[in-house]
Amino acid sequence: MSLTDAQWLAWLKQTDKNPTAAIQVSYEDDGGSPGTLYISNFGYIDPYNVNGNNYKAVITNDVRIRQDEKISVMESIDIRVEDTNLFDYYFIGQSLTIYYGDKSWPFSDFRQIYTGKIADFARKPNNYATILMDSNLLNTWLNQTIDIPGMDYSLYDSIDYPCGIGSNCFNVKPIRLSSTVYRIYWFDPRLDSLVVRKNGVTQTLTTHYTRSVYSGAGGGEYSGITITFVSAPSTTDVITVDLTGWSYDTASSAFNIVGNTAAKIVPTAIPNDFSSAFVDSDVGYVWYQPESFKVFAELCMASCKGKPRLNASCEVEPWCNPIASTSTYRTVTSAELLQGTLQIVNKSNPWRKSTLGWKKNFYPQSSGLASSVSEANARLYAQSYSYDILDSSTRDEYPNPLSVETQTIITDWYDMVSVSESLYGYDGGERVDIQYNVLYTGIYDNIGDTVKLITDELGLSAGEIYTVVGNNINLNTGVCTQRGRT
Amino acid sequence: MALDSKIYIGWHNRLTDYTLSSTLAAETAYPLTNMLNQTKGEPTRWNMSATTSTAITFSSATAYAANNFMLKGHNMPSDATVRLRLWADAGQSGTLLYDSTATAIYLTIPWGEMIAGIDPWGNYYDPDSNLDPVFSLGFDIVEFKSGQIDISNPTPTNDILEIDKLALFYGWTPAYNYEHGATTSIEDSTKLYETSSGGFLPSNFPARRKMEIDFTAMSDQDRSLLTHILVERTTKANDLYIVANPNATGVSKYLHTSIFKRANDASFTQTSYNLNDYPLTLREN
Repeated sequence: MSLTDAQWLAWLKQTDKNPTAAIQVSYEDDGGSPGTLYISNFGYIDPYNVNGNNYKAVITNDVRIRQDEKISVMESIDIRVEDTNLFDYYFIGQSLTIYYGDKSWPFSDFRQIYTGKIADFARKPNNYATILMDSNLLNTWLNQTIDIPGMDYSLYDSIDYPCGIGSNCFNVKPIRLSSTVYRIYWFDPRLDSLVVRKNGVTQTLTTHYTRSVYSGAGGGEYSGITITFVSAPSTTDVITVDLTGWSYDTASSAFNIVGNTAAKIVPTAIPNDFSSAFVDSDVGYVWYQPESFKVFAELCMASCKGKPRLNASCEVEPWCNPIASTSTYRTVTSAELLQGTLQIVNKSNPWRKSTLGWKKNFYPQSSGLASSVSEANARLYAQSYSYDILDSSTRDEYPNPLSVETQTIITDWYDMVSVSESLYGYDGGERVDIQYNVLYTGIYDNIGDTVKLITDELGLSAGEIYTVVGNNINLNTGVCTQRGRT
Repeated sequence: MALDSKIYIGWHNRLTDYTLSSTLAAETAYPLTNMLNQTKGEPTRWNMSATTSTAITFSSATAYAANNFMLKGHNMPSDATVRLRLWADAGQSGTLLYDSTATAIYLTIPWGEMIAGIDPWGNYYDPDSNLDPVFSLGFDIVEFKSGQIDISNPTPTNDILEIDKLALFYGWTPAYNYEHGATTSIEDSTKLYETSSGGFLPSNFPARRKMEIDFTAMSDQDRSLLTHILVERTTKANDLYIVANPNATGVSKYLHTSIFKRANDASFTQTSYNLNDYPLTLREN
C-alpha cells in the first residue's frame, strides 16, 4: 500500500499526527559485508510488521534538508552510537535515505523524501557521531573524467578519438591513420549520413573517397567510420566531416546515455518527455580526448535551457528558471502561511539581450581554406558557434540591463529559436523572489513545483503563482522555509 | 489490606534478576530482555497472528520481595487483560502468595469524572492519548521465588503484542507523603505557530509525564533512605518506578504512575529540627 499524493498532502495538513523521520544509513562492516543502521528523530517500529526494523530515536539534533537551485542535501545530524563497532565501519560514499510518515503507519506508507551520499561519519566525544552528507557531490560527479562512451578498447586499435554523439556534429576533424586513411568514431550503432570536406570543399563519395562503417562495433553502442581517399591529401590539407545520426540525437537521450553508460557513475534523471519548461533540442558533441563529464553536461543542459542540479533522489537533473505552471499548482493560503514570514527577498535585473551560441564548430578553421570556399562558408567554418541574438527595446526603467551569452550544442535551427525565445521570454522581465514559512506542507513540494499564494499580505489577495526555487525543511519541527519565484 | 495511599518509589526491577520465559516465543529481533532494559523504544514483540494469549514466567532459588508491578508502553487494545501470580517456591509451586486475577489493561474513565460531552463509563484514558499506556498493580509485600504473568489479548493490534517495559519491584514509601503543591504535568514540546489568518498550527512532538514533588515533613531516617535510593542505588542514570498512589483511579492513576528518571539534583534543605525540604523532579522515560 502506498499513499496517493492527495492522501499524503492531507496527512501533512492534519494537525493531529505523530510524524517521524525513519532514516536508513548504509555501511560496509570491517568484514566487507553491507549493513544498514536504522535511526530516527522520534523513534519508529512498524506497527504492522512484527519483525519491522527498530528506527531508534538516537538523533540529537533536528533533521533538516536544504534545497535550492543547485542541490538537495541533508544538513549534518548528530547521533548517539550504541554499537561502537560502527566507528570502524565504512560509511563514506554510502547512501543515507530518509523516509517520512506517521508512527501509526506501516512502513510501506512512508514516503522517501531524500537520499544522498555520506561524506563523513565523524566520531565525537562520549560515543556520539556526526553524519555529514556530500554537498559537493554534483561537482564530484560532473568532474569525473570519461573515456570514449562505451568503447571496447580490445576490439579496435588504440586510437579511439575523436568520437561524436548526437543528431549532428558539424566540422569535426577525424584522426589521420595513414596518408589516405582517416577515421572517426560515432557513439551510435548507426550512421545516417556523412559529409567529407577537404580545406572546406565538399568531397564526393567514390570520386574522391570511399567509406566503410563498422556499425555496432565494440559492444554495439558505436560505429567506427573509416574514410579512404582515392588520392592522398597533402599533409597540410585539412580534412573535416559532418556526422549525422539519430539514436541519441536529443539532449535528454544523449545526457542520459552518456551519464549512465559512459560515465557509469552519474545517475541521471532527465525524463524522456520534458515538461514545457524545457526544450528537448537536437544536439551534437565531439570528444577529441578524455575530458570531464562537466563540459558535456553543462553544454547539454544549456541546450535544454537548463543547468545540472542534484535532486533529492541523488540524481543529476536539469534545472532552469521555469515559468510557473498556471494549470498545475498547490494553493497556499493565509491559513497555512506562518505569520510574519512572508517577504520579498530579491528582484532580478532583467536581460536586455540574449545571445545564444549554437551549431558548435568542432574544428574552427581560420586559415587554409580553399579559395573556392564562399565567403559565407569561410565565416561559418571559422567561428566556434553560430550565434542568434534577441535584443529588447530600450528599458528606461532599468538603466543597467544584462546582456547574457549562452553556449549550447544545439544543432537544429528551430530548437535554437525555441530555446533562445524561451530564455529571453523568462529573463527578459523582472523576476521576484519571495520567501515564507509553512508547517509540514512544504514537504510535499519539490524544487520546480508551482504554488499559488493567496493572502492579504504583500497585495496577494487575488493570488500569485510562484515556482518553488528553495525549500528548507526541518523534519523535527515541520517548519518549511520556501522560496518562490514569479 | 490495601497499600497506603502514598507515593511508592521503586529503584530495582526484580525481573532483571530472573531469566524470563514466555509460552509464545518472542521475536528474535525483539527478545524478552528488551522489555527489561531501561531504554525507551526497545520493546519486546510477539507474533500473535495464531494465538491470543501468552504467559511470561520467571523462577529462581532465591526469594525476593515486591509490592508493585508495572507494564509500560504496550499496544494492547481495551479487551486485553493481565494477570500476575507470585508463588513462594520456585517453578510456580508452593503457596500462591498473590493473584491479581485477570485485570483490564486500560484505565476506565469513572462515573465521577463524567462531564456533558465527554464519553463516560466504558471509555478509557489510554487509547487516544499521546502518552505511553501504563498498567500497574500494587499489592501487600510478598516474598516470592517464582511468578507468572498471563496476558490475554483477544484482538491483538495488527497481530502484534508489544511491551516496552516490564517491572516488578519493591516500592519504598516514606512515613509522610509528599506535600501539597506537587505538580503532575504532561511535558509536551509541541510548539504552536501562528498563521497569517490568526489561527495556530502545531508542530507535533511526542509528550511524556512529568512530576515535581516535594517532601518537607520527612524524618531524618526517611531522608537518609531516600538519599540512599536516589544517590547510591539509582543515580540519575537509572529508572525510578513511581506510583504516586496505588489506590488512585482514573486520571490520577493515569498521570501519576510510570517509569521516570530523576531530572534534578538530589538535594535537601534543612528547614528546622527534623524537617527539611527535599524536591524531586521526575521525567518519564
